[in-house]
Amino acid sequence: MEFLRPAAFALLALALPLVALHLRVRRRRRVAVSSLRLWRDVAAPGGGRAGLRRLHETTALALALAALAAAATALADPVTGAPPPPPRGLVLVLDGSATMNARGAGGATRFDAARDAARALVARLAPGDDVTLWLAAGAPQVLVSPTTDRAQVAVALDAARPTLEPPSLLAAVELARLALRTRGNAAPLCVVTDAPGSAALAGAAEPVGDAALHVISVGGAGASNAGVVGAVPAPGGVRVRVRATDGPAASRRLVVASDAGGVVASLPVELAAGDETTRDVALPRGTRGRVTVRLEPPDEFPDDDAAALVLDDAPPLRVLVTAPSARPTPYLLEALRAQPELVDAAAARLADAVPPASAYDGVDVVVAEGALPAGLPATLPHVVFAETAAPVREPVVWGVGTHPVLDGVDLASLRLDRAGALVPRAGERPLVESAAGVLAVAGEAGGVRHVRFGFRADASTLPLEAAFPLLVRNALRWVRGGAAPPPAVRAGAPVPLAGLVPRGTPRVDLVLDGVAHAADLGPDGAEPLAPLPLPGGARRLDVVLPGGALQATTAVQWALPAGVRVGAAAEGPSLADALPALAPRRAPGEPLRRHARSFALAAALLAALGALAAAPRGAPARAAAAV
Amino acid sequence: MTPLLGPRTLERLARLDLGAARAAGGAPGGERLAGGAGTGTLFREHRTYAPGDDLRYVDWNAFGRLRSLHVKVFEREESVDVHLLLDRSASMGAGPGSKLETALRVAGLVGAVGLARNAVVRLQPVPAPEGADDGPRAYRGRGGTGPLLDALRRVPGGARAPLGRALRPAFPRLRRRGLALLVSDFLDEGDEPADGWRRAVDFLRHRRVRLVAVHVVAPEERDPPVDGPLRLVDAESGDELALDFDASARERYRARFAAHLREVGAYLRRREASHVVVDAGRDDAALLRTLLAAGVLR
Repeated sequence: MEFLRPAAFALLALALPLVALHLRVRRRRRVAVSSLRLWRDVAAPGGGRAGLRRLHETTALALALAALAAAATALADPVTGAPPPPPRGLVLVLDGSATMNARGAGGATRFDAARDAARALVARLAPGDDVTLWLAAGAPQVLVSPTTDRAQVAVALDAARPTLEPPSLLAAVELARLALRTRGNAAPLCVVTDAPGSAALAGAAEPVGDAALHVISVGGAGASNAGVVGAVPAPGGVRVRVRATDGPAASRRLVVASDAGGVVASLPVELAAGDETTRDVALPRGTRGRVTVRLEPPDEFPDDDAAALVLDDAPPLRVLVTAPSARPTPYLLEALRAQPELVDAAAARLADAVPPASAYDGVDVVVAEGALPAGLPATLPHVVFAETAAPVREPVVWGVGTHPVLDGVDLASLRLDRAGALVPRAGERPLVESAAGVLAVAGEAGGVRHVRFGFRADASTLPLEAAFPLLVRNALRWVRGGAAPPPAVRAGAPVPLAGLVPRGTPRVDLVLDGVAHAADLGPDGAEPLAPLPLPGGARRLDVVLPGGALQATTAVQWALPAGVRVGAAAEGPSLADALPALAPRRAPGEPLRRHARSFALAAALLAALGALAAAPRGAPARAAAAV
Repeated sequence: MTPLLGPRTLERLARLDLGAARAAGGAPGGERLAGGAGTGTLFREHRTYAPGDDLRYVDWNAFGRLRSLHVKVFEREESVDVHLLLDRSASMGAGPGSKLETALRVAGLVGAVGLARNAVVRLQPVPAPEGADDGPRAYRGRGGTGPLLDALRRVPGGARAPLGRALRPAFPRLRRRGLALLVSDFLDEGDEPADGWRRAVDFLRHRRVRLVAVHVVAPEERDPPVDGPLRLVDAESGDELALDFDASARERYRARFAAHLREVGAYLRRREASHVVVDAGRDDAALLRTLLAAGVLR
């Protein structure tokens, strides 16, 4: 039998005053009397009853002592079986940095291994031990406050995911140590990371004053990573940018696969740490739709080994650029060059402001700068950057419309040197408005679309905007017509459902990686946020109506954050070595039972009742000096 | 030192007389009437002269008026020997409120009345104190009241001699009968039966004195204010007795004490002695009322 609170036996000290009181009561007080003669006659017949009284007193004392002992035993919380281990705690700091996404040979990530190690540690703790769970990535966060609830810890471990942030082990360890000091706890502190002993833990590797620090390493001894950091359509194929961040030089293959036709192209690449290369991959004619570019074989960070892109169904445009003296602003030319999937660079032509009629042969779109060229066939879509006759200096832009041309473009901060007010004609919608009037319109006449800007690009801050190439692309796509490409959605950004989902649709499912995320749209048709894939990477996002119709396809791009380096795992204690020190497994034994406490309480109660029953009756003794 | 009796008490005693002196057989010349004609100073009556009468008592003034001889007859006055026998054993205790203190005051009351009536008052503590081997000291006249009370106040307690054995050498051989006032708690049984208070009573009866026994009882003897387990110590012998004094024992004790009182009273009455029970600690007025009610004083 063991006692959970042996200090309760201090209650037995009450036995001393109890016995002293009994002896005091039982002690015969000396009383001087004049003569014993009368008293002798009294004492003789009463001896038997006095003996009975003494028996009662002795019995009452014995029962009172028994009650006291039983009560002390009950308060000491007796238990049978194996003794419970002393309460202790464990502070777990999980490295949640981006490198923990690295996958091992079995396909499990380093974070999975860290999670398993944490589970193993928690399983070894005694029931009364509390667990604190920290996630060290970016700003360290407490996943589980100190608790003895194992289910809560298990749920938190299951829900924990590595982030894309750089590691913050040192900050997490210092915060955890501060929390321990505040609580007056000296629980061991265990860091599970793929980079123990690295700079991330520099300064915390020294023995901590009031809490031992243990580092458990997960992951292999080294890591290599190369990823597809960009893939864009290019004439005749796709242009892929590949970067290797870690690991030795390795030969890998760049494989392009189409959703419709499987692998459509493959070429070898030699990658060394720090290398970045751009490769144009030729695709078979007619390759359209969604294609995936993948580095094979996968490395320890397979999530950035692939990128997806959607190839336009239409062929690249043959663009005629007209400008005074056939010299357009370089910004415009660069913007056109930045659209290789849209602009056929080989077929692009330059002409002056008054090109000959033959110049329009075989042209899909005319991009004019300075003035709308005379003789422009009415059947040609065109985009014009030209001042009107009466330009206004520095007009203030105060309104920007909603139009596919402006998709992803923010012109609110646009500043103009000179601009001419346009008079929207029938079929034209204003794009940009100012105090001087409409500065840009988009319209359609006779089934032919056009976009007119009342200013030159070089007379504004537009070329300085990052969105200028996007504006040019949107304008070319819009004037060309045809089906619009799937909208690009950034993870965590609202998914534009206008035009995709009928009004009044109560809910849709956003399917990412085969996992459906239900999104209630509400009566006002709120746009749901695109699910955040972790780890990141190119993803196909399907918007599914209740009827099951596939409505759109898009891609979510992920890239390794800047500043995150995948370091080699340093030497550290193995998990098997660390486990016994951190959380010694309790030896199997008989389960604890507390029936003894109930028995002790019952015994105390019975003994107390017996003491009351056995106590002699009568008035307390009175003091007397002499009789 | 506090006087044994207060002035008002002494003033009241001057109007009292010894109630038991008539049977005590006093000596002529006292201030109390002997119950017949005598040679006292208090005129009683005239009677016709008869031959043999003392011519000193012829009333010549009456002869001048009546021309016949008449003699004056006076009340017979006698003095009484009053023996104050004080039990000063340890059982009587000592100090204010004790039985001894009450006994001293009883003796003072009776002694003062006796001295006021021209009695010869002899004080004899029993046993006699050391250095007092010359017998009891006698006090006479009203002037002896002060010395008597002083002597009473100096009587020590705590003696351990049995009453019956100690009384014999202390009590003088009497030339005439007198009044013996034995003040005791009558608890002294002595080492042997013949040494106790019974022996003392019998001894005094053989001396043919009028015995008045004043039985001093302490209130705690009537109802002991104790309870529970006791170790009783005899005040005189030092013997001890263990006793669990519970309610039943208390009842038995009360009955036994009442029987003791009856036993003492019966024994004394059989020997023609008066038995007066007084409670210790009572004031002078209460003691006087008790003595008057018992006829010891009148």
